[in-house]
Amino acid sequence: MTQSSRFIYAVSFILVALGFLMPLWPLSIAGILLAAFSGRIIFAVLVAFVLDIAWGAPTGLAQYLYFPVTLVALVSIAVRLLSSRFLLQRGSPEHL
Amino acid sequence: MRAFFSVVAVVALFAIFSLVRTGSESMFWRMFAPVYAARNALFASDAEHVRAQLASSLALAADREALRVENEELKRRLGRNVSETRILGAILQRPPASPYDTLVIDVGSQDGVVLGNYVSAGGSTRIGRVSQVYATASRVTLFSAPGEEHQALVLARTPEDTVLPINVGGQGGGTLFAEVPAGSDVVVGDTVAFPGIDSSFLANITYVDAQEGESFMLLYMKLPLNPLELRFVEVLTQQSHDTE
Repeated sequence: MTQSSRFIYAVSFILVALGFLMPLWPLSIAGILLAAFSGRIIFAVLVAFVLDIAWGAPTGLAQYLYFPVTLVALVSIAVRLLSSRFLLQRGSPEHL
Repeated sequence: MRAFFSVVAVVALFAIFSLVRTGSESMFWRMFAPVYAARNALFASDAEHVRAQLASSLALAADREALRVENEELKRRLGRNVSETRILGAILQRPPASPYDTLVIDVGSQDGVVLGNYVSAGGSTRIGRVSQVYATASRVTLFSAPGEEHQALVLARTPEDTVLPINVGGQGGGTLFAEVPAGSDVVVGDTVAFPGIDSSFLANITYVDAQEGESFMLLYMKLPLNPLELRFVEVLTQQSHDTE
């Protein structure tokens, strides 16, 4: 594990934990987005799931999402994968 | 193909998460409740404590009010309709400005106050009687004034709902005392009320002094409020007990 990888894991976790304890949910979401967009897929999904467990079943319109924070993590991961593929294709020597 | 498997994986993930949700939530909070309690204790200020206590008190007051309304409704249905007229009086003088657990209020004979009227601090709590009436003011002697004696009942919280008649004496400073036979089933926290269909609340027992070998034990009681902090009282000018 590289130094930058460890740094990203640590910062993501601290953001999520601080957001949970303060409480300030945007901070927690920011931590998950950081993990998801930096490619730490399993970590992002697991932490998002733990947050969904901690915050409980959503109410109102959000109840149809079942696991809204996990969904946010998965969507972020999908966005990252698609955009990185798009960027790779742009950078591919075949398209010079 | 990869996209299809990704979608299947996500759906499977959600299905598994849904199955373990309830148990996981319970386990999570069992583990993290001490962390959250420590966090609340660390960041809680005095003002927050007081606000929390106020919120609990308001909830309790609402609960009591609901019970009071139900109590009156039941009495009405059973043919005992207790009605009373109340006059709001502002306190002009309170202890220590007025002596010996007395209050001077701004309502008098012109407002319909009569000597001997009971005075309440609100709800069913009675705190004293009108002892002197002037045209536009009255003096109220609290039940806790030294020398005052009144008949009351201890509503003991026992499985048999014991009711013990006592003679309550005033000690001053909002405190009262009574003597009961040694071995009586009375504990701290028991309610003391006046006899009658309206069950007016008087005080709570705050200390039981039971000495070994003595024939009697002393009960010390406190009015449910601090007379020094009162701003308004209600004079019960007319009480009627209609029996059908």
